[in-house]
Amino acid sequence: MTIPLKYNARSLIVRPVTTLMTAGGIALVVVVFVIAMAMVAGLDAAIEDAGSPDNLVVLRRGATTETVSGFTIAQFEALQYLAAIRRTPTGEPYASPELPVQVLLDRTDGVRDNVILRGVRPIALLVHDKVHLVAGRMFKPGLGEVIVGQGLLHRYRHCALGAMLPAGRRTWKVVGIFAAGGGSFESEIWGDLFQVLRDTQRGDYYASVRIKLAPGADADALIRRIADDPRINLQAESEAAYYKDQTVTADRMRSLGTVAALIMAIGAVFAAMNTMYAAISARTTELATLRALGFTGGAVMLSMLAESLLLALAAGLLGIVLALPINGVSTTFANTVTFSTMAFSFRVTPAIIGQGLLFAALMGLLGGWLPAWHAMRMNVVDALRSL
Amino acid sequence: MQRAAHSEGAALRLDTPTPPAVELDQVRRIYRRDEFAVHALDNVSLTIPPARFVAIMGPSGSGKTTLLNLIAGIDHPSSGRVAVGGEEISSKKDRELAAWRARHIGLVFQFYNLIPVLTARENVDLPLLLTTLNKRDRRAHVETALRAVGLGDRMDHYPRQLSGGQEQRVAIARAIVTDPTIVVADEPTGDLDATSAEEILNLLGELNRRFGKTIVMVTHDSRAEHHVDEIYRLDKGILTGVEPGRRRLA
Ligand SMILES: Nc1ncnc2c1ncn2[C@@H]1O[C@H](COP(=O)(O)OP(=O)(O)OP(=O)(O)O)[C@@H](O)[C@H]1O
Ligand SMILES: [Mg+2]
Repeated sequence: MTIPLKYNARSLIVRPVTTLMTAGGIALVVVVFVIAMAMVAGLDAAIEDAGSPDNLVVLRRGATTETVSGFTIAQFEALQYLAAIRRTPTGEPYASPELPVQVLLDRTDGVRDNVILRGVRPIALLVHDKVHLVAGRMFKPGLGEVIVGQGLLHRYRHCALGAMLPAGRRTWKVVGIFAAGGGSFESEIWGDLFQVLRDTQRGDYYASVRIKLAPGADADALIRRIADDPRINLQAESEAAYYKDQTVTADRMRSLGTVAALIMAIGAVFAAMNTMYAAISARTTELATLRALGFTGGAVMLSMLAESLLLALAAGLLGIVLALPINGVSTTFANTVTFSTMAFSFRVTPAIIGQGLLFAALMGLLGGWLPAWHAMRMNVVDALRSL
Repeated sequence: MQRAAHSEGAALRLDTPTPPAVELDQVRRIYRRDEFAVHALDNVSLTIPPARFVAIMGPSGSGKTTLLNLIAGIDHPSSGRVAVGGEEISSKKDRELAAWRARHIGLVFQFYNLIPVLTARENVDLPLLLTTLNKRDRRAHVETALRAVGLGDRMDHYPRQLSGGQEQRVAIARAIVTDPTIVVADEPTGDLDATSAEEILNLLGELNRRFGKTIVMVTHDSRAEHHVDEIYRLDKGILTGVEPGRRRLA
């Protein structure tokens, strides 16, 4: 039979100082873990939100990001009238040629930062169906107008509607604010493709084309056609696949967060171990008495493990409660691949809460194992004498 | 009725072959410390008939606690045989002994050894957790035991809210709640004032009389002589004599 859990719960309460100190250590680890994982989940979601299922990204062959891609306008012309690409009622293809460039912007805190200025045609708003204006209007080509992603609004100067925004070689007029469902486009500025192109002074080229499939069109056949047609000779993939490649950064964040939490966890495990050793040596007579009454060594070990687990789980809950306010907090993330920033919100998902508690439980079991084992192995006769 | 069984002695025991409560046969307990060997008990043989209240007396270090631990199945003899209620326990493994203790032994300690974070009720309930009784039966047993030791009105008190004498009563309730074969008590009055000590001795005597519990008590307390049936005297690990207590005279 097992020793009742209330024995452990009350034993924890009667030594509040050591209990709280140990719980604090474990809680801190859980806080770090939850925040890191919430950040990864937020990044994942932001990246996922950016894509549409029926969109393709077309890049130069071998290119993995827009930054290293480039092709001629002739290639685009050959591509845009393919039958598998959706058309507007007036016959205009859903093919959005794009040229993202880096521009330096003044942040509200005074620092200057790289932001993407994306040259697009007005068709971009139709192709990117997650992007929509929340204020103002679409820019008119050739007039030096831009629309600004709402993720930049409070982070950078001169981004408000109607403001004059110096970016690149000219000062643009902000005529609209757009949202992109939390995706990375929300951290971009969109302006006229030809004006952006002229400002780069590198001749005529586009970096990418976004196309939307015609209803019922075969994506794989279109991808093959784009690759095999000698006039086009480009590489296409679904937006989902394209953004998945970009999540390498999020994966790296995930391992970084886990490693940081693990290193801290080692400390917390030793703290828990120390606490349990102290608790057990202070209760030698008590435990020996339980043994003398007929509880087995195994029951005593289980009881001490349960106590450590109880402490750790309570600490884990505390850590989650402390970390929870990060949920929904939005911030930007500097993407080291594209040298741009991306807005995202921390997401504390139920899975992360579960993992946090599991992590805490693991710390408790690891920290409690040795002390509990020693409690099991104690010599009852000697322990009863040590009054 | 139990008293009658005793006074008629041998004749009755022939009719009903009740085994002795405790039987030690040439028991040795040697503690080895480095090169030294302490003979805590040396060749002790004794028989305690059932339903007796006996005292073990002797100077400090004479082996009283060692003897009690062997009877209670907490310790193993270095050699010799220990049987309790006719069952040989000296050959049992630790795990079996734990289960055996839970069923057959009630333990009372000098410093009560109550669990400080549990109430009187919960402390007394502990040994019952090792039985198959359900919650309601356990509750009934606990309350009966606590009333038997006169603590019907203190059941939900924590040990620190009780006097030493009351704590020892809780411990005695914990020792009898499973209706064990014998109760072993190591200096149960050693930490109590004279009045409380007398009360505890009276209580043990009453439990022995009313419920026929065999009680083996280690004590330094000379008052105990008036409460017990026999006194076993130990000196330097050797049983030097058994003499009648003065209980029957009273
Ligand atoms: N674990 C041990 N290791 C070594 N020697 C021990 C151990 N336990 C008891 N002894 C020795 O065995 C002898 C008997 O000890 P025991 O505790 O049985 O005496 P006691 O009669 O109960 O004494 P007291 O009246 O002081 O309680 C003593 O000499 C003691 O030092
Ligand atoms: Mg002793």
